[in-house]
Amino acid sequence: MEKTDSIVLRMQGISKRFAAIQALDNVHFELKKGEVHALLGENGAGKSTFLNIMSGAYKQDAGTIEIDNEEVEFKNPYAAKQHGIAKVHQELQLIPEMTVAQNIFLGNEPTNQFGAVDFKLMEEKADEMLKKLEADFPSRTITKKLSTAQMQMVEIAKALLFNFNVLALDEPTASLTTREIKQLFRMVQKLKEQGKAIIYISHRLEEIFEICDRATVFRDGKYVDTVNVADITKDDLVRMMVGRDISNEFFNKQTKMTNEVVLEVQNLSNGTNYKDISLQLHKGEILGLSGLVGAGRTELVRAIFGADKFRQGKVFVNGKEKRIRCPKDAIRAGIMLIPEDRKLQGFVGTLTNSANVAMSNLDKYTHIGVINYKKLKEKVSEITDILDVHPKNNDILTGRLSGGNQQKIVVAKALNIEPEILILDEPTRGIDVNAKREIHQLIKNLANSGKSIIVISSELPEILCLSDRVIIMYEGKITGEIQGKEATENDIMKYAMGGN
Amino acid sequence: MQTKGISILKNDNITRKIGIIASLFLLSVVFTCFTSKFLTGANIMNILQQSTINGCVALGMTLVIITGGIDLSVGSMMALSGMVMAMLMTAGVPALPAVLLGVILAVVLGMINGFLISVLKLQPFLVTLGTMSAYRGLTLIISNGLPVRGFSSAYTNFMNSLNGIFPVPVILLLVFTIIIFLVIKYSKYGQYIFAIGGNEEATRLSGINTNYIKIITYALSGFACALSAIIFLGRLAAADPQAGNSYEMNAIAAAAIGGASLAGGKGSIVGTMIGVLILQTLNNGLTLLNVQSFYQTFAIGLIIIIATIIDRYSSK
Repeated sequence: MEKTDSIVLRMQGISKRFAAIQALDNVHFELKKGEVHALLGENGAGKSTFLNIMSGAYKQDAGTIEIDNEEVEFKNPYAAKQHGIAKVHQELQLIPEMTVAQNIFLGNEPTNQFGAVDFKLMEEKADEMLKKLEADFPSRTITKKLSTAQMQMVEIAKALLFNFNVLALDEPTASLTTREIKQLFRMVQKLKEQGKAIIYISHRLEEIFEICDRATVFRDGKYVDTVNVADITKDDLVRMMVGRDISNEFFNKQTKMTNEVVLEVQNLSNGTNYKDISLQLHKGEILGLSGLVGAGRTELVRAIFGADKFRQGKVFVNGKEKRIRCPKDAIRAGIMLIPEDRKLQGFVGTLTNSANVAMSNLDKYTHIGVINYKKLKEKVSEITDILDVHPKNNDILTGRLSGGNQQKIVVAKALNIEPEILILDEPTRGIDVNAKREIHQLIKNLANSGKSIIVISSELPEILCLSDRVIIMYEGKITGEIQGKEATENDIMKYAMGGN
Repeated sequence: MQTKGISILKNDNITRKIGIIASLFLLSVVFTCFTSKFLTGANIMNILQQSTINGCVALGMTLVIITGGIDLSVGSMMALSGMVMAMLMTAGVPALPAVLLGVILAVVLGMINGFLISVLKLQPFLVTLGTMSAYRGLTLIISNGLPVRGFSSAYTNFMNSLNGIFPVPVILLLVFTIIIFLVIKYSKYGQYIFAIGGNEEATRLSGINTNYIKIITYALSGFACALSAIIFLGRLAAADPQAGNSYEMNAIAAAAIGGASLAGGKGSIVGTMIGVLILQTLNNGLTLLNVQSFYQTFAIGLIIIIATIIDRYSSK
């Protein structure tokens, strides 16, 4: 065997149980030096638990971990780090108010002979590390001013400080633009060339084929198989993850769209994020809003929904001008927004599913000031049953559900007010294949029942599979409009990069 | 599994409530064993009566804490509204309108807090730290720093009319507690304060006027302070410009013992009331045992810390 084929990490027979749930059941995993290895599975397949065991956050109930063919035991995350295992979290763990250098060296600050932090040395070293990663910002930058992609680089630089051999990237591209993804992949390639081994988790299968060498699939906490990516197809992978065939994702594109305009926006501007935007939405239409992150799409829909103020422009619903100053006004006008970040904006984690779903229209269940909980729960159950929310207990706190089910609760809240116009901002970010398909199907069904829909997505396949019409934004302006049937990824990208 | 109401955090809440009720019981058993004066009807009534002022303030505080805020100005609001009631009465205004004006004033003071915090988006701690001093200053200015006595005996007579049977302050607190309890459990307002405390932005994006709810909450805290001022005047037959100093601390302590989280989204009316009773029972029992008051202060500190530790490690 060549040197490059040597195993840096081997985990065998790993099991982990949480109360009633067997999260992992006798799973195996092998990582070779200098490979990018995808770890795949639906939400709840046990990927996160596995990574947490690998990085020392949890202790396995059974099984062994070997590093360079030597058995090790991690008492805590620090021990794992010392053994060269680094993990970049899905939710970045940086302190926004600190500089990049301070974040990289947090807990390992270099000191001078007086014991004071040597900021100069720290920044020099940090700049050196950033340079290795081909970062385009100095280490003196305040972290909160960086883009998500840049913050990820900081996280990776932080890991470099420990001279890692194994790096786990958990959904690194979830909130990156196409350009940033390219940049990330270049960096991954570089690390690979340096002989580092990378574990790559993503729900976007296209990416797996682009940068991964091998893939290991888990399903329901069990090991399914490890395969060479070059030998298989996307359908094979999906079948391994789901355990059955998923019918064609690209179902009938055309919805029962009419020419009746339900929403019209005229010359909307807030002066910075979007300028002079005019668009129309038809009854029964699914309008895709595409563009790079930062193109002003989220800001635009937030303004239409009244979440943020706009400076100029008018909004018409069914031909009548509406003054929308707050979300309440928008909801009254029949517009509902499913926001971009479900955790921060979508639901209240400390409330039950029933409370979350009913929150937007408690009036409906309130009689002379008293909430009728029986009626409320019946209605909520009707909706959560249709959406197939798991577990089937609406007294559970929404904060304890999986990401996909949390998103379903946010969707349920929106459906509960029966809006005529539904705006979905990144509705399937970070949720698994199955839940994603269900949400796509739901969007189609809503449109077919005469609701009008705007979808924002950074995933081009999603925009293409859903939209009757696509509008593309670039730097706060609309640069293109394509009928859904004719749209291709290339056309959209061209407009999204500012071309016309 | 069907349960009544969308009781928030109900699993945690039940064990928690049993825990603090048990502590109160245990405390009472200990005092009963060590002093014969503790478990008497008169003493129990005494504890209840002494609990009423902190009880009112703590209820208002609990609502504020559930929304994720804090109200440090409660003691000053109580002093100012009480002072205004007393001065109006000594100036010859009949008791009822005088008290009513004092209540309205306290509600307005609370609304000012709420306005600054919600509309201007200032931090609750700093806003109420400021108004704590400002409202106290106003009290000192209008009273010239002196207590006001000698107001309507009809008022004090009424407030003390049922002493020994079922004191008026206890009735007032009981009614207030029940109303707030029902409001929290069965009204939209109750749902909204927990929602705001859990995630304000998500609540706003659900079409709820969060500013309005927060202003109401701080106004209710002001109202609760006016209620405690009414009781204070009745018990002491005087308004004291220094009254209510550090009342915010007792109120926060009671809410915390009762399971409220300063991070918001969590809190219970019943829990807070038991918290109030625990603090007062401790004071009362230690006094009966002739323990110096310095030790009482120390013991209360310990209780708060123990409650916090239990809260932290029982919820996981």
